[in-house]
Amino acid sequence: MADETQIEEMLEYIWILEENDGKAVSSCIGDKFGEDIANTYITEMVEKQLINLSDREIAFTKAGKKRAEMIIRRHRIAERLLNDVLEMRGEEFERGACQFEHFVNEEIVASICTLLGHPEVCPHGNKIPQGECCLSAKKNLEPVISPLSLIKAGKKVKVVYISTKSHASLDRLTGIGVIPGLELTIHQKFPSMILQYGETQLALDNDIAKNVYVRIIQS
Amino acid sequence: MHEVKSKEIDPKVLDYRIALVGNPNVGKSVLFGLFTGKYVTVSNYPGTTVEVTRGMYSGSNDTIEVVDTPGSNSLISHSEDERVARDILLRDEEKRVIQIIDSKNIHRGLLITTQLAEMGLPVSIGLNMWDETLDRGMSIDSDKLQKILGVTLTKTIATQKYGIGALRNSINSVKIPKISIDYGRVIEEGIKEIETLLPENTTVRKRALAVMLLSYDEDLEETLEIDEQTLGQIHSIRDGVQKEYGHPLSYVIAKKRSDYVGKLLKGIVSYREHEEKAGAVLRNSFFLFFMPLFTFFVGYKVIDLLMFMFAGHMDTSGQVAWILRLAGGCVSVGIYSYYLFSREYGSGRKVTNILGTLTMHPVLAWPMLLVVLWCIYKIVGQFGAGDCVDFVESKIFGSSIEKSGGFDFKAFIPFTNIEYVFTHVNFQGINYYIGLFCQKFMSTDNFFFELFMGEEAGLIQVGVTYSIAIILPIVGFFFISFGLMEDSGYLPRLAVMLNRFFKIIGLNGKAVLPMVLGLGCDTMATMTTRILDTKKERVISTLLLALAVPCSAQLGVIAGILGSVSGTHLAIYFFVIFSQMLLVGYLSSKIIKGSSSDFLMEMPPFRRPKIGNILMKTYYRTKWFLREAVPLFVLGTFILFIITKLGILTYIQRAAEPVVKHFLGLPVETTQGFILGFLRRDYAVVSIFKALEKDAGSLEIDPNQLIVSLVVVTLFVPCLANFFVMIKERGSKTAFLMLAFILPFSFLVGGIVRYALQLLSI
Repeated sequence: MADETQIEEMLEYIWILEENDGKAVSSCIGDKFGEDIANTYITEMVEKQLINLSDREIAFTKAGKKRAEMIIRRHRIAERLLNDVLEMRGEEFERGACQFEHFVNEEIVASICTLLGHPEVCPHGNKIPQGECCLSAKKNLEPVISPLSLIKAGKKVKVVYISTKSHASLDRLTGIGVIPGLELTIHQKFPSMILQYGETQLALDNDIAKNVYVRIIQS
Repeated sequence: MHEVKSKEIDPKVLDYRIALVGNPNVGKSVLFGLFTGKYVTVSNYPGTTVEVTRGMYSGSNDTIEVVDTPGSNSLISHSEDERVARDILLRDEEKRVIQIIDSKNIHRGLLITTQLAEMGLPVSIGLNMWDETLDRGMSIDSDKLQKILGVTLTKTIATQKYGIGALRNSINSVKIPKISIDYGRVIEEGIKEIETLLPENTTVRKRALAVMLLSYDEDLEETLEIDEQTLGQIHSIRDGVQKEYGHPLSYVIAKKRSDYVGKLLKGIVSYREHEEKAGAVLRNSFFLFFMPLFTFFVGYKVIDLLMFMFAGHMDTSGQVAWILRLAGGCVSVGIYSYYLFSREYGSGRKVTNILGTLTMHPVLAWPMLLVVLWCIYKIVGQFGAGDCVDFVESKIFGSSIEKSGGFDFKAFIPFTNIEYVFTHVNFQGINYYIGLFCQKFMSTDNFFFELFMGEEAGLIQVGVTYSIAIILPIVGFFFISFGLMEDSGYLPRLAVMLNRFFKIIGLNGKAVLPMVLGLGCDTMATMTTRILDTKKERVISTLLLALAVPCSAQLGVIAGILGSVSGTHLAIYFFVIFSQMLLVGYLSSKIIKGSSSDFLMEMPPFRRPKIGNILMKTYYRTKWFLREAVPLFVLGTFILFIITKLGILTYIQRAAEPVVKHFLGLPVETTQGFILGFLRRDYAVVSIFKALEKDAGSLEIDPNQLIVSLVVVTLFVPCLANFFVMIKERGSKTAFLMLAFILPFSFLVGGIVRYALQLLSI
């Protein structure tokens, strides 16, 4: 299905053109992908009723728009995942996101989106199209997972996972009882973060707190 | 902070050893004191016991030894103190363990119990701080837990000696806890494989060692002295097991342990809905009387201190100034009362808990901090270093040649100017009487008279007198206020407040202990840098202590001199010293290799300090300090004596002339002060002040000259005692490198300050 991948790439590009310039012109597609390829696929897309072509200007059909939206969403969610959680940068990051968008299904995207807390913009600052999970999250206030360091004081949270690179601070955290499943309250955030759980009050750095991922259970 | 030195004891006569084990700040040292009759410094600050303390079990006729170990949250070592605690358990033979658990944090305590069980050590458990557990509405079914664990559990309140007898008896019925954790098939197989590789004669069960090795405990590899080849095999087993897990093994293992303990405690620990309310009288007097009074004082004092800085630019005793101060007080009462009544009054929390929260509040804690520091300065710097030192120095010790003139016993009647004299004491000073005695045998210009009783550098007249007359009151009062901060739990809260600042200089909040201690005595503070986690942090804090933290002896004199000149100049002085601390700290954190650790510290609850404990602690610390310091001061004086006798001082003065006179713009006589600084930091200040006074003649001293010289002498080399400790703690290479940096740096900064003041025409 090399064709499908190519079509997806093109739909994606058209979306970005529309986003940036307000309209997509077929010559731009030619510049990016090469005249021949562009012409072949534009014809194919028109046949598949994904786009309409009028006077060299390309417009999405309803089905085409929906499909493009999904691809863009996958791409930008992938970017968030690679950037925020896996901390990839540069070439690795770009390539990863591009490959990612072609092989994940909508269900996986939805869970990643939930995990990331339904982000609204990609790392470049472009808007991420909302999926069903985002809409239902707004209605149901579905619990989201985010680093401890980003949560406001006074909230009660549950530790979901801890991702620290340094063994020493991870071991010290577990030694003192901070492990997944622990419910704790954020007592204060300034001048240092203080956590309260059971009869323990624990002061810790933001550097450690941002590696502790939690779910808000009570605000 | 560890006075009792470990003695070598012939192991043959011992029946067995008792090791006290537990999390930090659970009361091990108190129990050690109760078991042995020996005193160990006890404080409400985690990590106070750094060195191992050993003593004989009282009533055992020297056949049972008790070992106090540093508190640790895990017997897998992550820091020096945890390693020390663990190694004791691995090494000593014939031992029994008394584990102390802070019962309100029983979960964390039992994590250690699981490790002790794994090691196969016979244990008895003391559930300490039982009173605080009850206060919090928590109840523990200890009978049921005792049955499950199969070891004796004793409820204790160590500070009130409650349950100590029972705990002592339980030492005869120690048992290995009935705990066995299944870590899952893959890890269990790894454990079995490693067990076969371990040496035969280990003192604890191999299973425990294997688990530690799987948890990446690299210190253990050193302790066990495993050869390279076996180590390689162990590592490959570990890596094999690790592949099966997404998280580091240490984490997986700790999680299993924690889950196990969590299951164990189900149905044993329960909470009542509300904690017990404090008595209504105490509560209301706290809210309606003490807090308003205190917060009024806070606001009043903050305005007062601010005005002091601008003393040159406004009338601080006029009506406007008084109105401002009173307004400051009222505003402060308003703000604090609003907070307390809206947030705390109805909450039913204990007063100490409210104070615990308030003292680390993002906004409200800062003015309180300022006032606490000011109070400490008043007590230590002014009363201790000023009044008391004056009195002890001039009246009790006096001079070998002149009479001191005696002193009056008198009392002031408050709010009046009347003083009532009870009696006049006709005591002319210890040194005068010794001098008088000596003059029976020799004249005052005899060599030996000068060596011992000389005004310049006599060993008794200067060395002994200075170390006792000056150090005793200052250090004594400092330890009292430090003890108050420590035992109330204020010190760790200070760590929370200052963590961000310490981060800039490559340290973290934990460094607050050595730094604050440095304000008392840098020598002692340098020793406590051991509590910091990494080598890099220890080096940075040692350097900053030597460079930029003035000790109380010095601070008292400096503040006295500069404060009387002008508040603005005092502010400039503090600004310069503080900025140098920041600068050097920041740069050294970039230059010095190694890693800094992240701040992670448990906050002990705010407690009402016990005066008895504080006085006891002060007594032992002061005694220890005098024992360490007096010989150093006598030695220092002797060196000074030789220098003056041989006339070396003149040569040094001449050599230093270009720098001192032309670069710093100070009279040459101040050089002597700088050299003296190596002996006694505060003595240097006085000597410089006198030199400036002499130079100025009848004119007033130029405050800019004063600032320059005080900045130099503060940054200048630490005293001899401090330097010796630096060598001992950090090694002679590092110590001399620091010295080589500090010497030129202090003069450089002094010069810059001189020209900056000229430019700004202050």
